[in-house]
Amino acid sequence: MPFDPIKMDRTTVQKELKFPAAGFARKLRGYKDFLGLLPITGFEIFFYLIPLVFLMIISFWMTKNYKVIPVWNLHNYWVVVSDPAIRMAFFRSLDITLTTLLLTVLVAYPFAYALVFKVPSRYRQLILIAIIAPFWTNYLVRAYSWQLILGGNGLINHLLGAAGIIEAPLNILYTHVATRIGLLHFLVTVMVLNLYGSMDNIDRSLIEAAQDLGAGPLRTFLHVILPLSFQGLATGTVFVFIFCFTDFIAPSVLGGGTRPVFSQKVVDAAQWTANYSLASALSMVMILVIAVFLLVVFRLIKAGTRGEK
Amino acid sequence: MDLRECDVELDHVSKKFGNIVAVDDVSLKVRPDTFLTFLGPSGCGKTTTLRLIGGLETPTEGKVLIKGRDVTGLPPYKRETNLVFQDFALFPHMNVLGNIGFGLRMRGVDRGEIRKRVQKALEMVGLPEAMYRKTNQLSGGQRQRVALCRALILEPAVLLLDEPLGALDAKIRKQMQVELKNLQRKLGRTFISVTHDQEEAMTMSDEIAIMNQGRIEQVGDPHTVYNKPVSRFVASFLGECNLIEVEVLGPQLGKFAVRNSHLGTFFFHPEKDWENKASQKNTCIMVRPEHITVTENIQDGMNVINGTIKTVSFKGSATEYVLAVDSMDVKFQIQGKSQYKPEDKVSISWRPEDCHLIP
Amino acid sequence: MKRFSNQVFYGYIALLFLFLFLPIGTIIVFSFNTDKFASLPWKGFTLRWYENLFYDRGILDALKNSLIVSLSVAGSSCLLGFMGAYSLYRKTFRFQNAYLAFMISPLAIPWIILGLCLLVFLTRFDLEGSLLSVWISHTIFAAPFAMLIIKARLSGIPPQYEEAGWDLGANRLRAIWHIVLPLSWPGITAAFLLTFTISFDEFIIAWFVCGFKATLPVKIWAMIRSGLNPTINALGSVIFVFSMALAITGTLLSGTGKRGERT
Repeated sequence: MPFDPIKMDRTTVQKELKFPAAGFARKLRGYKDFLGLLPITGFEIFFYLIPLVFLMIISFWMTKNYKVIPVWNLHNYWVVVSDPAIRMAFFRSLDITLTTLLLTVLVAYPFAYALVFKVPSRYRQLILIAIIAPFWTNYLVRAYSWQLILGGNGLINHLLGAAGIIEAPLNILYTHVATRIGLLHFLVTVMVLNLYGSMDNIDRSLIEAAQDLGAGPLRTFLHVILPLSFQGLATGTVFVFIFCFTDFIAPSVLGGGTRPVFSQKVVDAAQWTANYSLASALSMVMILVIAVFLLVVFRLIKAGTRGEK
Repeated sequence: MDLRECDVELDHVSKKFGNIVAVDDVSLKVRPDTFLTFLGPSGCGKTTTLRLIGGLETPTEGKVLIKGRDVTGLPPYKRETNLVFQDFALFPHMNVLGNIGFGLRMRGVDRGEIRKRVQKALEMVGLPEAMYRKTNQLSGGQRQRVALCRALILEPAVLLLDEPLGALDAKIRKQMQVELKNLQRKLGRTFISVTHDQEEAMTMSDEIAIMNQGRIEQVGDPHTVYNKPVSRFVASFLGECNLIEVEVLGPQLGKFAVRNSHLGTFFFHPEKDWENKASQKNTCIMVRPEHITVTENIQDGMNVINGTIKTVSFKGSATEYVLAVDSMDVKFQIQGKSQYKPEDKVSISWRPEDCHLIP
Repeated sequence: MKRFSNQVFYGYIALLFLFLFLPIGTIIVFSFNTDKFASLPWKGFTLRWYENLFYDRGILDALKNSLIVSLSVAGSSCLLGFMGAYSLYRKTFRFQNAYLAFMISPLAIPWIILGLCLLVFLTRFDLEGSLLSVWISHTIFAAPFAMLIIKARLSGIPPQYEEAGWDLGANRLRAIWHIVLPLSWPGITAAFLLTFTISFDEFIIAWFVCGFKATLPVKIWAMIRSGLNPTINALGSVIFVFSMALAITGTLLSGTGKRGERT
């Protein structure tokens, strides 16, 4: 290919000398691999990210006559903070969440401990699958089935009555005791899985060392197992908190409507009064609470891992 | 050489992975009907170079040409090369017929024809009954033959082999070395192989390209590369050798001489560009152990060293001795049983033709 | 002493299992009870409540809607998820962790909020109140979930297989079709089953966006609201057994059991 140096300008020379076809094809081939990410990412951005951002925005707008009007104000947040019913619901949610959290930890820890340290390993996988199985069933139906057990005419009352322990039926259903039971039922599996995960990773030799040094089972637990399973405990706690605080089904099906929780207020605003901007403000507060909790847990993890060393 | 006469050409090819330079400005021309082997230690870039030829990697710089055609931007499915992978990479979800016939299927050959051709190929490699077997039912050697069939049935211009004998037992390996070589001769196509086994490379190849740290140190036929290495790395990679640091003196007594401060003066036969080599510092001469003998009569003009035998190892066909001389050890080798013991004082020598200057 | 403490632990495990399976067992048992209430003594064995399922127009419609939505969600999630998983399998890139965190986030944020924001958003486009809106809403968390499952499966496939395919003449698409897909089918099937199950059981988001096109959980909610109805027992039992079977199959197929994952 004869080059005529006189006719060349710099760019042409550069292009010819740098094997243009090869270079372009080279760059292009690298990007082909990422094409597969486009559809799913695009979908998520358009139907997830943008709606979330939009929700945040309308929490600062107004709703009049069932229409959302782009007027910037803090009225919704004022309502959230000042309305006594909403405040009551907020603290109720917090109460239920924290007590359920405590309950879940207390119930799950011994189970996880037993699973890791007492059960022979050939049964472990089986037990794990067995506790995961109910986890996958319909949460709504499960909550409802507690009605059969906790109701005035339900299983527990009949059993206790037949055994002569009580005279009048216990009022469990449609109180938040029932709500907690329903939540516990769902969440204990999660907590067990998380605890199991981190407990399983504990180096057995550490435990043997502690026992060699004369620590009894309780002390071994407090000083060795508890700190080292902290990671699993933290992740489990986060999940339990988020779920409890935001759940709508258990409080509605089991707790009744007379003492509403925060999530029910969101539904009220969205479905009954169609006050979308209020609903979104409530949601933003929900997210805020979760974020604060995450921060606290994160700090505690840091302190905990420092203690490990 | 005219470009069109090469089966494969690499033109200043480099490949970087992030900051790591795997292949560093490699240029090479491969003539048709050649068995070329890239030889080198792990991590020297030989497998990457092979993949660059096959299209599984794209060079960061440079051109790759196959049969004169610039294929640098082309993906593997558009190149006339086929690769036999190191672990054969036989598709686990297909049987032998599915594997070998895969390439033909991609070309749209009809099923009956595929079956015929696959059967013929299997018969050629000695596996006539294997067509419907699953790949996990085959032994290592059988899998290798299936992998070879799978590649060769497409009649590529260049066959690429990544450590073809690595997964085989030592016994089969020697046999396969000969078989591969014969296969290449019979087919008349270029085979490019990659290995770290120096003996394998020497047995099978017409040409060896020795690589180190991404660069080709030397290309040549086995004899040349073994006896006239261009660098210490090549010399020591291809087998045992003795390297003696010398200073070039020039013509003396009718022969060309070099001198080592401890060991004296040695003579060698000049090569074409000994002047270039001589002008560089840190020259050394290389002598292979099998070219050294024990001498009784010492004559002028011979290359002689006196020393004490340090170790004796009987290796079956020959005995290896290590001679302690001054500050260094010299290895030499004599056929047959050992005749000397440690602590013996002997004189060893070699002919001037048998040593080689390395800059 | 040790044996005693072991027994205590085994007893505790048994107790917890009792607690976990009690509601499931109760609802199944009482779905056969003639009596409307979950009372004892047992009044009589009947299949009446199960028969009702076939005659209730509302339930059948809801079932049909759920099947349409969940099958579509499983399908779209596996398609989108496979494409994404394949890209992640082929190449890693900077900020990949941040990207993955973003993609997984729909599974982590409270679904009541997700339901709300989708309701608001879809209303703007007049897309709410249809099965399409439920399909969109479920795919948002199901597709990344499928992507994770399939990605895990793909990472066990050595890249040489695909490379061999290219070398032998298959272009990118054909290599995926003939080599990658067959080798990853357990992961894809697992993803399909699991995303189907999640979508089928999902209540709150569907409730927000489905309008009058009730899915099965939404219908169940309506039935619960309108008072104690033994037909719910029958329906619930069927759903329980069905979901558990699907989920166990899916978990087994996906290789390692997933820990701490949310429905």
